[in-house]
Amino acid sequence: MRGTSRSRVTRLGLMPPLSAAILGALSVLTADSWLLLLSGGALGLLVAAFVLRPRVTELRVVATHPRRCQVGEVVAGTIQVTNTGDRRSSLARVTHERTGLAPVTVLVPPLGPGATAEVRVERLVLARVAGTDGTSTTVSSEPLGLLERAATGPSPTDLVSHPRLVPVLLGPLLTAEEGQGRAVASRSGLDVHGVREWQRGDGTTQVHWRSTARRGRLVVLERETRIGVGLGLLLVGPPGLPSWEPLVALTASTAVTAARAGRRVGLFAAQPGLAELTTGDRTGLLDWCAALDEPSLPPPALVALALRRVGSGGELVVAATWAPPAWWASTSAAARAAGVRLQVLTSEPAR
Amino acid sequence: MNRITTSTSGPYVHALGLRIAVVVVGLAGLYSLPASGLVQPALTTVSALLYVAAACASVQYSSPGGHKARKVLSIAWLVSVGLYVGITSASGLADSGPAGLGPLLALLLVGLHIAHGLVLNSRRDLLVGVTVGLFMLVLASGLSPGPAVAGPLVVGWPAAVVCLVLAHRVQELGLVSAVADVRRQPGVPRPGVQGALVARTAVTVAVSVLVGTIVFLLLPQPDGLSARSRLLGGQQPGDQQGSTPGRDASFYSGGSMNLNARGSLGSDPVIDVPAGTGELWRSAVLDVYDGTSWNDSGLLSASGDLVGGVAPIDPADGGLPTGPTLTADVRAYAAFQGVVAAPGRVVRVVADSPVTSLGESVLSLTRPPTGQTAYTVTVVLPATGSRALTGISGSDQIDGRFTQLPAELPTRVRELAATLTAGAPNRAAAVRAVETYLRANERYDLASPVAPDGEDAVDDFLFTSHAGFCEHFASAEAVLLRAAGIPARLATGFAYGQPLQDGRIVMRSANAHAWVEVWYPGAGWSPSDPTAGAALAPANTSVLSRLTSWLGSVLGSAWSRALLALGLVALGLLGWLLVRVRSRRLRAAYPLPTGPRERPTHPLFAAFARLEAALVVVGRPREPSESLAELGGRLPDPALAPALRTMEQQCYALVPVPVEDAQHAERALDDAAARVISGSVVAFVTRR
Repeated sequence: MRGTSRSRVTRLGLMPPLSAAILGALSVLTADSWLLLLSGGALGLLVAAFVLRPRVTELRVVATHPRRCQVGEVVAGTIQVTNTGDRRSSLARVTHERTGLAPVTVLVPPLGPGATAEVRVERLVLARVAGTDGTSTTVSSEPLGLLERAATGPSPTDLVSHPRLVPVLLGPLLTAEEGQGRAVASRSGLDVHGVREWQRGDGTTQVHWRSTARRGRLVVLERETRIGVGLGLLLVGPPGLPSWEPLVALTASTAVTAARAGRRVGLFAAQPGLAELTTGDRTGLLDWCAALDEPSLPPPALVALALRRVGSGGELVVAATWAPPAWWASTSAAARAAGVRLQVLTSEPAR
Repeated sequence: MNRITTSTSGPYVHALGLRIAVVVVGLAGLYSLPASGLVQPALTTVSALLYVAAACASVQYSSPGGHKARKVLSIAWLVSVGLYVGITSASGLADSGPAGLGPLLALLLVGLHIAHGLVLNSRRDLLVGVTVGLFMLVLASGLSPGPAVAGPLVVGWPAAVVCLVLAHRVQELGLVSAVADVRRQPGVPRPGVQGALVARTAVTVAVSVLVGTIVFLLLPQPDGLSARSRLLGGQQPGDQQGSTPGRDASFYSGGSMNLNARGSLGSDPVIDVPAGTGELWRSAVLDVYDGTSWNDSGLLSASGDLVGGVAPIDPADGGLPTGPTLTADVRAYAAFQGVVAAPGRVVRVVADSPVTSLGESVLSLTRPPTGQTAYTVTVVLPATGSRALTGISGSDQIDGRFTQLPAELPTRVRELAATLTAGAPNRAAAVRAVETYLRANERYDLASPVAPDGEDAVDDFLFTSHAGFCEHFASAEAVLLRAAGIPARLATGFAYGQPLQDGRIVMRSANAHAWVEVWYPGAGWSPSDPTAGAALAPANTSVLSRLTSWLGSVLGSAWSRALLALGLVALGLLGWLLVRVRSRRLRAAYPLPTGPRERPTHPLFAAFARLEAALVVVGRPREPSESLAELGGRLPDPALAPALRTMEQQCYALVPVPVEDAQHAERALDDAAARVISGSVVAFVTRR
């Protein structure tokens, strides 16, 4: 296992030398060799623990689980442990920790060289996250629990955990027919709008390989999208408050409900590396929400982009628990100018 | 706290093994107590049965109701034992003093052990049980004078190590949510999980015991007592600790003789005498028996220096020195204590150094500083032989102290004496009857048990232990004869030495001996040795006894201890080497598989194989040395390069490819294969 390792004497490990000292002293005081033999036996435990000290650094841990899941869901996965060394490993506890998932600890029996042990585990999805992350910690104090060795190393897994969906009513939002009727595509959507650098959420089919080869980094082709999507969701936040996650869950649920009704939904947030997304695909919408980290207050340019994508007659839903009054004023003015109806989605009662 | 249940199974759950190991440690602790004399063996057996029953009950009745009942029973039992010990200590401790604390503490521990056996539910309970068992072992080891505690120690020590190992595994099991299964490795003859765990336990026990023994051998032995004296029950001179006094060759030179003394005598030469001058060389006689020891009642009546080296007439002989005389020259060695030994009644001693009479029968020489001296002794030989003694008759005109017996002598001894001598027609026949009885019913054992305090030593020898050495045989005969009204006394000295090349007999310390002298009217004192011909105790010939004897000789020297430690280290290294060689051979015979094991079965590689097949069909197969990147560059298909990268990731990356990406790449490979077949990809890039 690549990473760090440490060794320490456990509390139980202090008992043998203490017992040996006491028995040795008693042996001298009483001139009794039996007690000296027992004292040697106590020291023998300590030496045996050192000679047979656990081997954990050669264990490689691989965790698997579904790539996509939802917060609150229990997902089934596996923990695979392989002994990459040339000697038998020790009985060990392996703990896999990964952001967004409950940590899991499994017991791994002694493994011969090259052997693999596998166990199926069920883990609770704790938080919304997207990305590759994970560490594993292998701890063993075989055979007597006197000397403990631990090794920590990377054991990354790819995870996109969607926010937990909540029931929503479209309420004042337009129905699918109404939305489709108002949102008129002004362009075919096949015309090339331009190229830009790859951002989280872009699919591999969007990559423009020729430009990528030329520039040496991933470049995607941005096509002209249909304007007049009709429904846009602008995440404002602010993040970090207890109401942030419920707000994201509410936004995701609204987007999914609208998409299920046949609407294409535009998602906007001021987060570096997270491009705006316009789609009717449920998975895409949820992936985008999963990638939300801590967006800042949307700048006027992003608001303008959202209004343009929504198009005249469409509706822009601002998901926010709080925003500066000036921002509200400017956004309202811009929406009025663009002919877009502005609505507010919040996870807290309006003040 | 991990609750141990019996319903769990599998190689990782060692609940049953842990329970068994704990019970073994507990039994070892219980049986170590009688070895140190703290608890009676019968009580130990009953306690062991109760403990096993309690441990079984803790398994059998594991329901909440059963647990509660066991807990109540355990507390009640502990309170009862505590009360008993408390009352006993309050009433009897004042009499016995601190020496009575050991048995009370042992009794309390036994009670606690049985009470705790009822509540062996969790890992913590089991560890407490091990601790109590070990504490009993420590207590017994600290108080045991002999090797009897070795058995419980040899069993209890490894069992305690096994307990620690298994308890650790149970603890580990309680900290995890699942246990991994090892994938089968077909054709690899390596031990499975169970075998590995058992082997690891065995290695742990072996290493800890081996290291503990080596450490014990290398550590300096405690001062005051040698390891031999403690471990093997032998008492060195001057070892007077506890209730068992020691003895040596000087013990047989008169004064007194304690029948409860034990210890080895050594092999130093004391005197050498001409061959054919008699087997029993008497140094002193003892006439008063008090139930535990023999004493010389005339010791205090020293008569001062002898004029001309002529001994006084023994008043017990009635002033009639009769019979043939014999003169022998005796050479004394450094171990000679100064007491004149002679094969009969001394009538003259000629020596360079002054001769002193110590009492009626003990003659002493003043030893020169060199320790070596010589003297010539003239004796009247005693009357011996059945023919000569059978015809002797007459009344006993002798001092009454030669028929003295303690008033506390048990009646059964007197009854036995009466039974043995009832049919004897004369004194010689009565003596032979007693000798025959002792030789037939008692065993010779130098490590015979010591009579309990307050018990008559002869009674204990005749009716309880049935084991003893020359002192006990001679004492028993003297007491039985006195009980039958026949005057007798205890003689001490040297007997049955080893011949030398110059025709002399050497008497060593180990030849110190005790026998009986019986009074025959008109003939005087005649020797009788009931020890000669007695059966040896079978324990002396056992393997354990021989092993103990060998260990004793090894532990007696620092060099031999170091040598033994070195041997054990070599043994450990040899074992380690054998394991390493076997492991290397296994690795050589069954090399580890390399590369991704999933390769042949993963759908992604199957799709790539289809693409390779398609290329073969169109006549542009993948060349043997063509890498994935080169192949991607040769085929102008934009979707192919990401798919090949995904395949590369599946091959070499630490993290497996997500299923969705693998499926996407698989589709891309199949699409590429389809396009190759359909001719849509016709513009193969020529390789540079």
